[in-house]
Amino acid sequence: MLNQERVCEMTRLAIFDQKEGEECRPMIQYFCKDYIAKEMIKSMISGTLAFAVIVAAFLFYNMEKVMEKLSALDIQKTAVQALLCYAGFMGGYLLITYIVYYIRYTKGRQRVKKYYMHLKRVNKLYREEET
Amino acid sequence: MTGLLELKEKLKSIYGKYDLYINPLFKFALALCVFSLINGNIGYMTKLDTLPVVLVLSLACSIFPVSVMLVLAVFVLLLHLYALSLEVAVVACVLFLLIALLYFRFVPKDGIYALLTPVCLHYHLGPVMPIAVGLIGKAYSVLSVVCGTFVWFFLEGVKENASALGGSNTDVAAISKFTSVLNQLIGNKEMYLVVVDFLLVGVIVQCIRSLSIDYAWTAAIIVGALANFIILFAGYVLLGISGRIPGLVVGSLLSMAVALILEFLFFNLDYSRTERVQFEDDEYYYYVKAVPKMYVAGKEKRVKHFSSKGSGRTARR
Repeated sequence: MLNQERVCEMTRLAIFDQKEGEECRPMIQYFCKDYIAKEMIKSMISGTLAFAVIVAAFLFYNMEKVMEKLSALDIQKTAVQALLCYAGFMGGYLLITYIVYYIRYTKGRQRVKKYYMHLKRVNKLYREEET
Repeated sequence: MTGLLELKEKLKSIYGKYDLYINPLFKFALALCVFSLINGNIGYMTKLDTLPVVLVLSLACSIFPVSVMLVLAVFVLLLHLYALSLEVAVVACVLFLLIALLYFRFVPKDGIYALLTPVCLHYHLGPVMPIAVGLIGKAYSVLSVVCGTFVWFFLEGVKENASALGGSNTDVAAISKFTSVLNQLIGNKEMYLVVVDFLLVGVIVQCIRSLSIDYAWTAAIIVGALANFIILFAGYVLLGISGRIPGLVVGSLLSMAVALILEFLFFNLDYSRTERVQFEDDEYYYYVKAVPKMYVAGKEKRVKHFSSKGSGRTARR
């Protein structure tokens, strides 16, 4: 015979699996620091790419001025300026990444805990049925 | 009001029963609208600007998640812009790449707002988006609306200057085209005005609707629509942009109406039956305010069958 309480619990688990399971998987697989570090590495790549795109667009936009100043360009000073801009951009981008994924991990972890609570209840109901 | 509530319950029950078919149908309709708008406004690649292509793309979108629709729309846009001019397509590619890397890297599920914003802006219903996102979405989702706004203004600029941008292809012309395309994006003051307006409206609506006051959603909608009107009106006057005021008035009123419909569908409370209770435990004193949702049970129909041979039977539905 069907155990109504167990069916309810299992339905909740199935809904979680279907809707949030994929999103919460990293919260089961990784520790908080590892998860954030993984996302920071991804952000390093995407941030660098975005910075490169912005610089390229800027250079194209100011092509005439750049060509005029090219002969009298202080390479060392320009490189230091570019590096500072890159560091500032990446600093901001990585800070946002840290905040976003820290919050996401904390919230996801709470949902996973709830999921385990329901899982335990199902196990308990199974055991009760067997005895 | 009772009739409307009954209709809402009926719609809810129909959606509950047939959501498996209704969801793809909605996605199909949205995709059809998006691709038709793209083809109608910047359909420079004639091979894509045909009904079978639009239907096939819409059909594909109806099966896959909304993010696929966004990717396909971007792809179709890039092809159309490439047919106009390589430089325009490159600038569009840079714009989409930056949006994807800087924003959708964090919230890929918010793509639907970025997709709907240009559609709403096209029909002069722009304020619907920040108000709706402020009501239903998260605070940061307003940024998706901003992304959609950037895209719409960029495409409008391309559409207006299509004849100039689709001209000769020498190296000098290429650089000047590139600069002029970027100029129309960076130097578009109206775009900045609308972006700031949408950001402010989204934040205002979000703040008011989360207040613990009666009719918070209605107040948020009205204040949001008013703020939108005042900011845009003042902005247009300051920037000396003429001919936008009638559209702004109509758009604000229509947006408010759409937002009120959203409120009716998603947050319809009966404040006349508000309960206020107070209790305490060891650590806290609780002031609880419970507002019941408006609900009308569906009418129970009694169907009476008459037959000449047997006695009458009644059945309940």
